[in-house]
Amino acid sequence: MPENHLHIGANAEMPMLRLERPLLIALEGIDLSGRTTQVELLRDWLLAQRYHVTTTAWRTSPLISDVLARARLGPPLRPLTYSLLYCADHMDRTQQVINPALARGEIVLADRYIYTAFARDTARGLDAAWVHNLYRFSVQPDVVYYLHITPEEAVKRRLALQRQRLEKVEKAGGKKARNAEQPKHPKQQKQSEKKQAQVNAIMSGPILTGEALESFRNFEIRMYSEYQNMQKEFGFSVIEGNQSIDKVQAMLRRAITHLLLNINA
Amino acid sequence: MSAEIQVQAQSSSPLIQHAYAGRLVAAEGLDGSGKSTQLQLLRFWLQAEGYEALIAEWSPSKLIKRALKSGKKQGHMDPMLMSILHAADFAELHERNIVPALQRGAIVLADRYIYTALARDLARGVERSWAEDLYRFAARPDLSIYFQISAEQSLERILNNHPRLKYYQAGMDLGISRDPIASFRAFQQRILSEYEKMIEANALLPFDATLPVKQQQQLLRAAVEGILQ
Repeated sequence: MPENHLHIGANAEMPMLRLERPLLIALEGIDLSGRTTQVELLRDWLLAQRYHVTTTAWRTSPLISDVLARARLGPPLRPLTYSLLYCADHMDRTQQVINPALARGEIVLADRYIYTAFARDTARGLDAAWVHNLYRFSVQPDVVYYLHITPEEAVKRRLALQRQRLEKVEKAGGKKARNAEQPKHPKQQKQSEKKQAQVNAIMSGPILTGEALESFRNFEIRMYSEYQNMQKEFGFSVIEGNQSIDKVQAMLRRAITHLLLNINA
Repeated sequence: MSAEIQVQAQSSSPLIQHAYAGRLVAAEGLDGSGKSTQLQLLRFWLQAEGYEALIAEWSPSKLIKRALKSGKKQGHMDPMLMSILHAADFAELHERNIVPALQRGAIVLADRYIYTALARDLARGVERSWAEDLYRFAARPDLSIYFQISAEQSLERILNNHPRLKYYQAGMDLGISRDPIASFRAFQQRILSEYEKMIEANALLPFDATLPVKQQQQLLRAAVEGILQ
């Protein structure tokens, strides 16, 4: 890479790479399609190559995340109200996180973007044109990778996670007595906590059975159909999500490497 | 301004006419224009006439207030973001209270509707077409009354009740002036000019809110009777 692309930071031995122009990359897909895992892996990979990377995800706006968290604790709000609160979250992140990072010439990785809002709001019965207009202020991503899994696969993954969680709870119950006398090694403890946090993050919410599971399935079916409809309209790059994490990651890296080569050419 | 409230058929409101059994009356105007008092009187009268009548008051919820407060602390609150937050509050009121009441055939008296929000948004510099689209989910009122008073009258009436102007009420977020009173005056002038445009477009019916309370009420009742048939 030519020298003028090197940005010499405070640590001259570890120069960070600077792009000719910033990049906004969005990962989309229905629940449990593996977006979050893939975004994390991509971030680590890009950082290892010494690119400046910023990640952003829904409900992380400094101003609105608290409002949303409180809204979720209280009595359920109307779909229209949620739609607007989510839009406020996206707007605040656009102003506070995405635009500043792009202005610094960074790579921004979005763990879900406006298409999630389009899919969810329309799946909940709101007018698509109205929702699109609402998000008119947002930055157009350079590329959208759509991790494609079927709703059946989403349900399968959800059930597998639930089993995992239940097994963990049972195990923890049996071990409790021993653990009280013999405290875990702090590092081990931390690791298992981290893993549990990951499982919890992927599978937020209660264990689903019967009707609740059916409504989860139906919602994923609706979301899936919205994503399928948007594929062409917004020119998603489709990546089959029903493969191993490593394979999906390799495909993403290959695609992004191309993108970076084109930019820095 | 004529003393009577002339109901115009040709309205260029951005909203779509509703098909509910009920009737929707919106009261708009500057703070202190006496909207709430008049709506209370209207409600008692309508109830006495045997109608189900209720007041839907649009004021910031606890939820939104927190975000607005942090915005104030940060010293920056984006006008578009503020519009969205207020719209979220209004959406909840609209979907939870207004629409079900209209479906039941009730008469809903809205103490502030989207025109006041729109006037404030536009006064804060939000793009018109975006803001108009934002509120497009709202049912169009059968009667949208603008309680007309001057910025000075508004200021006087507010200060009579509260010794201090509130931060956003005075438009302090716009950075027009460090003096709340000066800021309020400038902000209200902008809002007033937006109301004027809505009146010209027949989206709002102007009404002299400096008349005696009783006389105002008589005029309002006549106008409401006009939409009950």
